[in-house]
Amino acid sequence: LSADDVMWAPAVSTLSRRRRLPRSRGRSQRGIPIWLALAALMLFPLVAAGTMAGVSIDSASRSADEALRAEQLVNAVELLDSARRSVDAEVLPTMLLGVLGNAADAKAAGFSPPRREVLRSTEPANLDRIRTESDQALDAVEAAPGGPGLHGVLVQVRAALLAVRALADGTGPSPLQEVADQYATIAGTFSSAQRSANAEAISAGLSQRSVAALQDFDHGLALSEAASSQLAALFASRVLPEPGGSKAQQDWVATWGTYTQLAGNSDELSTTGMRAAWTTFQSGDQIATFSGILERQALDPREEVLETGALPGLAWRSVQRDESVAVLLEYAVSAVTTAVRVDRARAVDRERLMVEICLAFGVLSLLDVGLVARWLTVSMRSLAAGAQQISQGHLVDVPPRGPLELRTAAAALSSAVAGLRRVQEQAQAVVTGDLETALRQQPLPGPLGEVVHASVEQIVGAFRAREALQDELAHQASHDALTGLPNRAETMRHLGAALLRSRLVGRQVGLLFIDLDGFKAVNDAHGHAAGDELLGEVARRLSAAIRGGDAVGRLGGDEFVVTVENTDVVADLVRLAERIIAAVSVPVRVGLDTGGDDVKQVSVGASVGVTVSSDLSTADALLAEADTAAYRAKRLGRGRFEIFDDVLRAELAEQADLAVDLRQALDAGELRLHYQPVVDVRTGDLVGYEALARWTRPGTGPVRPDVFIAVAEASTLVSDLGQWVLLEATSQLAYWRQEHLAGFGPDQAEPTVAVNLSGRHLADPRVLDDVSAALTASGLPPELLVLEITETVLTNDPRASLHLQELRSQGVRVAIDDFGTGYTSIGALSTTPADILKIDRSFIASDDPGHHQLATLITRAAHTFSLRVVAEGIETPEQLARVRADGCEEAQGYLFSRPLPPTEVEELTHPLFLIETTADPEPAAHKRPAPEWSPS
Amino acid sequence: MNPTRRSFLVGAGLLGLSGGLSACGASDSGPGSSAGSKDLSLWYWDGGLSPQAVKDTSATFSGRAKITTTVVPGDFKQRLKTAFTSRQDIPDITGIKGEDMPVFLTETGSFLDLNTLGARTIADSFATAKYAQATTADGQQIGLPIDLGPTALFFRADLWKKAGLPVAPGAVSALMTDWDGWFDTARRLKKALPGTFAIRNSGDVFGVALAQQHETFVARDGSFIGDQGGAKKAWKIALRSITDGIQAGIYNGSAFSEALTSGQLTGHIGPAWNGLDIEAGAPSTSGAWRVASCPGGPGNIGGSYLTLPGSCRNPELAFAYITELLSAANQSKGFAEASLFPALTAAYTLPALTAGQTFYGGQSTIEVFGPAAEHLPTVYDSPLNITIATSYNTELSNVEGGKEPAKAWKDAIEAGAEVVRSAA
Repeated sequence: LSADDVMWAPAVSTLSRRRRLPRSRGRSQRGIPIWLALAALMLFPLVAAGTMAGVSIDSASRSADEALRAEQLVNAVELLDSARRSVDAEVLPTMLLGVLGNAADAKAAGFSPPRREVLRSTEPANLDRIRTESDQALDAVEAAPGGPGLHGVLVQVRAALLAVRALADGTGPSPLQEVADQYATIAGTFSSAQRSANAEAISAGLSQRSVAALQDFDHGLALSEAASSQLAALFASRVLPEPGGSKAQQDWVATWGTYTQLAGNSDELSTTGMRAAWTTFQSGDQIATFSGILERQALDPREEVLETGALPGLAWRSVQRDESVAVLLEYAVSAVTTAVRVDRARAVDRERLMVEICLAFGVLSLLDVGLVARWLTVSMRSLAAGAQQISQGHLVDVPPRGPLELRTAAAALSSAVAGLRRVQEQAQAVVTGDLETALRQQPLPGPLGEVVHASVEQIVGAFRAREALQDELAHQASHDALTGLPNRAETMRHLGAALLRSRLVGRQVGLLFIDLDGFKAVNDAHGHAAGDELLGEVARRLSAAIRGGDAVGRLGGDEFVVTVENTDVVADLVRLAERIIAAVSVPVRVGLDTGGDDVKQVSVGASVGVTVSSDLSTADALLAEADTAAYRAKRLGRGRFEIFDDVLRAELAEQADLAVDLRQALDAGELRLHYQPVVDVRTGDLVGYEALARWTRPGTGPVRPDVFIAVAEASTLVSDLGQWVLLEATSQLAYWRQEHLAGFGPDQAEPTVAVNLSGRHLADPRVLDDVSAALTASGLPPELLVLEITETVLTNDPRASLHLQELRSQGVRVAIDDFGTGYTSIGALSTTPADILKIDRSFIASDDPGHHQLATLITRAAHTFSLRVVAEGIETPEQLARVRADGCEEAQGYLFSRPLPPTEVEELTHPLFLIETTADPEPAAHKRPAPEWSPS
Repeated sequence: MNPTRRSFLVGAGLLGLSGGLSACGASDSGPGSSAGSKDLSLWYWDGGLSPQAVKDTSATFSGRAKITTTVVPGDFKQRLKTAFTSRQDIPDITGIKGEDMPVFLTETGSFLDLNTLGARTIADSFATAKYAQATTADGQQIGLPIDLGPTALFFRADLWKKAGLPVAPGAVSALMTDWDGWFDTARRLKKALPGTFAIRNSGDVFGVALAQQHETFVARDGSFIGDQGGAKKAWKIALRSITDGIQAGIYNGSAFSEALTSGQLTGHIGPAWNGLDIEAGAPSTSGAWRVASCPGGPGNIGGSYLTLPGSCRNPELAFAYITELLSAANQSKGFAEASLFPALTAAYTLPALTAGQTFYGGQSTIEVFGPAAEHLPTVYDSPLNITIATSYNTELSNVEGGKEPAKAWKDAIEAGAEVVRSAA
C-alpha cells in the first residue's frame, strides 16, 4: 500500500457515493415541503375562522345597510311632510276662493264686497304658488334616495290632488264639502304613509338611541300634521254648511286638541337636543301668541275670537308656525341621522374590525407558518447541507440550529465529524509521511477508532518496512554485500560524476585499479570463507588508506578501484598507490569468524594501475586505462604499481580498434559459432551443446575468444554479441531438430544448446526480449535453451538475478559456469536461480587431491539442491571416471569432442564414447582438440 | 375705524403671545383653549347681509381665517335659540334681527361684550338710536348694527299722477308732515282709481305708526301701557286705514306681489328694506316708484345686528371680520343689492348710496332715508313687544274680517296685558 493508495481509497469511495447520491436526492424531492405540511395544518382553523368572520361581517354589513336605509327613509319622510304641509296650505285658499265665488256666501262669511274683490283678484296667485310648491315638494320626495320606497304614495297623492284641484277649479257652485273631504283623504294618505315608513325605520333593528330619535321624529310628524291643518279646519268649520259643518267643527277641535297636547308635552321626547328645540319652539313669542289665540277660539267656540274674514290674513302666521315645526322636524331628522350614522359607523367599524381581525389572523397564521417553516427549513437545510458535505468527504462543522431534535442530530453529526477529523489527521499524517504524528494521535473511542488506529499502525508498519526494504535494496544495488563498498555500477556512477565535477572546476580525476596478487591461492588453500574475510579486511585497509573525498569501490572478485578527485599531481597518486600496496601486503589473520579454532595468517599483495583523467576521459575509458596499467603491473612482477602511459595507451588503442572491428564483424556476419557436445557420463549419449563464438579477423587471422570477448565486455557490444549468439544458436538447434541431425533422433532425448551470457547483458532488461525473440524466431522449446553465466554475475548486480528468475519461469534453463572459481559459497546454492552447475575445468585438470575433494563436495551439494552437474574440460578417461564416480551427470571436453562447426557436428557419430568399466578409458573422439579457452 | 388692520395685527400678536404662554404653562382646557382658531362660522338669513359683501370680506380674510357661512332657512331666532339651548352648533358670528334683539338683550351671557374688543371706539360711526338698541342696561354692547329700517312712503308716481296728485318726492314729502296728509292722498287715490288701495294691510300702518312712538306696549318700568299713549295712537291710525277702506287686507307674499303688479296697490309705507320686497314682487313696475317722507315722521322698523356668541372660537378675529363686513364699502353693497340701509352713517355719502336708482325712476332715495335715519326717535323696545304686537295685529285682522273695532281694541288690550302679566 503506497501513499497514493491511501489517497485513492477515499476518492474511489466518494466516486461511488456520488453516483448514488442523485438517485437518493431524487427520491427526497418527491416529498412535500415542510411549509406545505404546516400550511395544511393551519387550513382548517383558517377556514373555520374565515367562515365565522364571514357570518359576522355579513351581519355587520346588513346592520350598516339597514342604518343607511333608515337614514334615507327618514329624509324622504321629512320631505314628504314638507309636501304634506304644502298640500294642507292649499286647503284654506281653495275653500276661500270657493266661498268668495258666491257673493252671498262671501258676505255671510264676513267678506265685504271690496275685500272680496281684492281677495278674488290676488288669492288665485297665492293658491297657484302653493300648488306649485306642493308639486315641487312631491317631486323632491321622488328624487330623494329613500323616495322609491314611497313611490306608491306619491302616485296616489298626485292623482288625488289632480282630482281635487280640478274639482275646486271647476265652474259652477263649488262643492266645498267634497273638496274638504278629498283633501282630508289626501292628508290621511300622507299620514299613514309617513307613519308606516317611520315604523319601518324603527323596526329596522337599530340602536336604542336611533330608535329613540326615530320616535321623537314620529312625535314631530304628529305635531306637524296637527299644526298645518288647524287653520283650514277652523275655516272649514265656519264655511261648510250642515251637516258637514258639525263634523268640520269636531275636526277643528280635534286638530287643535292634538296640537296643543303634543306641543305642550316635550317630556315624551327622548333626545336632549330635540327637547331643547321643542321647548324653544313652544316658547317662541309669535307662535305662542298665535297658538294662544287659536286656543281661545277652541275653548270658546260660541264666541268668534277670530273672525272668519280674519282667517286668510292669519294664514301666513300658520305657515310661519309650520316652518317652525319644520325646523323641529329638521332637528329630529338630524338627531336620527346622527344616531343611525353612529349605528352605521359602528357596523362598518365592526365589519372592518372583523375583516382586520380575520386578515390579521390569516396574516399572522401565514407568518407563523412561514416563520416556523423557515426556521425548520433553514435548520434542516443546514443539517442536510452539512450531511451532504460530510457524505462527500468534506469534514465541515454542522452548526446546531432549529428545534431540539435537529440540534441533537447536528450535535451528533458534529461529534462524528470531530471523530472523522481525527481519522483524517491520522490519514493526513500518513500521507505526508509524518508517521510519528499518525501513531501519536489519540485513537477515536469506539470500534471504528480501534480499527482505524490498528489500520494506521498497519500502514505505518508496512510503510516503514517498505522504506527499510527500499533503502536496503538501494544499498544492495549500489554496494557490495561482502565488503560494504560501492559495487561496480555504483563505482562507475561515482566516477562519471567525479569526472563531470572535475571538468567543471578545471581539475582532474585520478583512478587507481587494485588487483590482489595471490588471492586465488588463499581462496584455494583456506576456502572461500577465508577469502571473504580477506577481502573484507582489504576493503577496510583501502578505506583507511585513502583521503577524505576519495572513494573505494569493488569491481568484483579481487579487483578494487580508488577514485581520487581534484588531483593534478601524479606524485600524489603514486604515494597513494604505494600506501595501498603496503597496507594490503600486511598479513591478515583469517578464521576469526569461526571462533578462533582455525585462525590462520595469510597474505596477499596488490598490483596497482594508476591513471589520470584528461578532458576527453569517460569513466569506462579511465577504468580501462587503470585496468591496463594494473595488468602491466601484474605482468611485470606483482606487488607494484604502473602508471598508464603511452605504451599502455597504445595497447588500449589496439583494444579499441579491436572493438571497432568486432562491431563491424558482428554487423557483417563474420562471426561463427562452434558447438562443443555435452555427453551423459553414464551412457555416453549426447545431451547438448555449448555454443562458442569464433572470429577470424580479416588480415589478422583468428582472434582468441577471451581477447575479443574481453573487448566486447568493455561496452554494450557484449550484449549485441550475446543477442547474436542467442539467435544463431537457437536457429541452428532448431534446424537440427527439424532435420533430425546432430543428435536429434526419434528415440533420443533432445539435445540442449548452452549460450554464454555476460553479466552486463544479463543485467540489461533487453536480455528478456533477446531471449524471447530468439525462441520465437526459432520456434525452439525454451527447455532446450541453457543460459550459462558465471557466479560473479549474480553477486555483482541484483537485476541479473531478477532477469534470470524471469527467464527460468519461462522454462529456459540456467547453468552456473566455471563454478568453484568465484566466491559463491556452496551454502548459497539453495537460493541460486540455476538448474545446472558446471564445475570449473581447473578442478578437473588439477592433480591436487584437495581439488578433487572440492569437486566431489560441489557435486554432492548440487545434488542436494536438485542441480545437475556438468564437468568441464574432461580430457582423459581418468578424469571421466573420477567425475562419474562423484555422481556428476554430464561432461564436456576434448575427450569427447572439441568445439566444432555445425557441419562437423552433424557428422559426429554417436555415442561419443564407449562406457568402459576400466578406470582408464580410451578417448572416444577420433580427433584430439586443442586446449580451449572459456569465453569468460 | 376701518377694521383697523393695525389693531387686528396687534390683537393677533397678543393672541399668539398668550397662546405661546399658555402652551408653556399647564394644560388649560378652559373656555379660552380654542382661542386662536382660524375657523369661524357665520349665520345669517336670506337678505340679512349682502352675499357679495360676505364673499368679498371672507376673501380678504383668506389665510387669516376660514369662514364657513350658513344662510339659515326658516325661523332664525328659533334656530339660534335652539343652538344656545342645546349648546350645539353655536355659530362664532351670527346675525340677529332687530325685532329679536330685545329678547337676546336679556340673555347677555350668551354673547360677548363687543366693548371688550374695541367696539366703543367705533360706536360713533353708527346711527345712534340703532346702536343703542344693542346696548344692555349695564352698558354691554351685544351687537354692531348692520342696517336700519327708516320708514318712508313708497308710491307709484304713475298712478299718483293719474289721480292728479303730485309726484315729485319733495312735494309728496311736503304732504306727509302728518298722517292726515297721507289719508288725504289715499282717499283721493281711491276715488280717482276705484278698486285700488293705498296700503297692503292695516298691520303695516300699525307698525309704521308704532315705530314713531317713544313708548309702545311696555314702559321702561315693565308696566303695560298698551292701552294708552303711543300704542293707542298707532291703533287709531291703523283702524282708520280700515274704516277708510284704503287697506287691501293682503297678508301673503304672492297676493302682495300680484296686487303690486296689477296696480291694486298705489303705494306702501314701511322701512327702507321693504324696497327689496317691492322690487322682487313687481319687477315690471320698475321706474314707476318713488320714495317720500314717512307720514307723521320717520321711525325705524327692523335692521339687524351682527353679534359674537359667548362660545366664539376667536373673538378678536371675529370682531375684525365683522368690522370689515360692516365697512362703508360693504354697507354700500348691501344697500345696492339688498336694500339694506346702512347703519354706518359715514356710508351715506358714498356714490353707491347717492346715485340715482333705476327702480325709483332715477331718484336717489338716500335723500329721503338719510335724513330719516338721522332723526329716528329713540324707542324703548321691550322684549315682550313682539308678542304683544301679535295680539294687536290679530285684532286688526279681525276688524278687517268684520269685528267690532271697540271689541277688538278691548281684546287686544286684554291679550297684551295678559302677556305682561304672564311675563312678570
